[in-house]
Amino acid sequence: MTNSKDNITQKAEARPEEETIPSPTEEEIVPSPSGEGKRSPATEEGAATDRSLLIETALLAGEILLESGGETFRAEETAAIICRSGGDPDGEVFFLPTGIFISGSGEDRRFSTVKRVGRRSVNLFRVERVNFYSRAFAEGKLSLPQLREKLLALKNNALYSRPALCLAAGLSSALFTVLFEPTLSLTVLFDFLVSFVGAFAAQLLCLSGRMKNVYPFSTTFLGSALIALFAVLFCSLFGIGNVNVIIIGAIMPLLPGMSLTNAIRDTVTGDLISGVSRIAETLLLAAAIAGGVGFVLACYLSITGGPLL
Amino acid sequence: MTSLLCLRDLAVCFGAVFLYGIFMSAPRKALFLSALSGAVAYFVYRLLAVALHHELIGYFAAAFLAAASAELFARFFRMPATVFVMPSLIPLVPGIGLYRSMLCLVQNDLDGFLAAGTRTVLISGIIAAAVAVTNSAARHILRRKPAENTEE
Repeated sequence: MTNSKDNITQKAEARPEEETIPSPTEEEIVPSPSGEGKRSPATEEGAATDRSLLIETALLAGEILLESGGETFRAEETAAIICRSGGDPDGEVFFLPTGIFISGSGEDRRFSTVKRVGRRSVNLFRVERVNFYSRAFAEGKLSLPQLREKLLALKNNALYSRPALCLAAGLSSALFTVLFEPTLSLTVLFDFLVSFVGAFAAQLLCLSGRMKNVYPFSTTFLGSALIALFAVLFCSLFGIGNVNVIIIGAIMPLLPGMSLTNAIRDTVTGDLISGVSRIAETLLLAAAIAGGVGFVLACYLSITGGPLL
Repeated sequence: MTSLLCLRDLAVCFGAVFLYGIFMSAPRKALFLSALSGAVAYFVYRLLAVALHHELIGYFAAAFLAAASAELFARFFRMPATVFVMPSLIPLVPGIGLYRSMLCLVQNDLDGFLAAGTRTVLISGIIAAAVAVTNSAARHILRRKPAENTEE
């Protein structure tokens, strides 16, 4: 093999320490071209680490976007902009909802990186920040190490704490319950409270399940079952309230509205694999919600005959 | 009575979308505007659905309104449009349809399930399509001004 362009470095892990030091075996594999071997090894090493840092940073930006609910198209575009602005016009990026592939060109070889993306959730703050930082990098206001530092800090910055998120979800569901109530009456206050309790408990379950890497399908199923249970229990206990409206309001934060919209957008923009897999994800989550609520309501129906429905 | 109901719904919808924005960790600057456009979009949907006797047109118009205003806000604040459009679409998401179709299934009413289920899928498709179309239209129409500033 005379040309070292076939030498592809693959790294599944994105550890900065490993990136900055090219492994000695790599150096051995690279044959020094007889004619143009004038460059000193130090500068070549520097350029190589620079390029791999660039790729790692593009990967990090894309990873944060995919994990926070950005569309595939946006994540790809952002990574490509970082590559191009960092001086790698031949960088090629390919994103799926569950994984990232980036390959960039160096002086005389190509680097490529693969990263698996798990734990998808919604965090619009991160989407906005990554967009902001990558734009600043493209305009030259941020250097590459600065960008990387900001992105790493962003990865651990969630803007709101978990209890605050649960509280917001609970209150929002309670208000949706009021919104879906067709008449003006004071029993709406009862529905408001029950919906709040149910949605709060369900979100607590889902968010703590996500921390422990439980599949979202199971937590969504259990969460919506919990909502239906609360609704049926409280309404039959106190004899007032509207079970339907409570459940419809309380499942709002569980509904996969974001992944549905992203699914259609991805399909429309031509990221067919991403689009179809996101549609599958949406259907799965919708089935989990319907299953959880349906299971509890079926039990309720078979026990009491369903006077409240 | 009805105007009172409308007023209550508008206020409640605003609050619900605002809190949902916090739940989605939307940036603080975007919360107020997305809540406003969400409430207005929901109201437009209700008006059109009653006036035209057809839900689907109402859904499309409301989703289009939310998406178009989000694109404008996005150009103005230099944030991605997703940040604005996601919370404001939430009141339109057919949770009711999902629930109704599930309820029919539980009660062994397969005809009702098919009717409500098809409707739900259609509505979600229409909302998502309205957003996608608006987004790609905005990319072509509004691209010139801000994009050239960022590239240089």
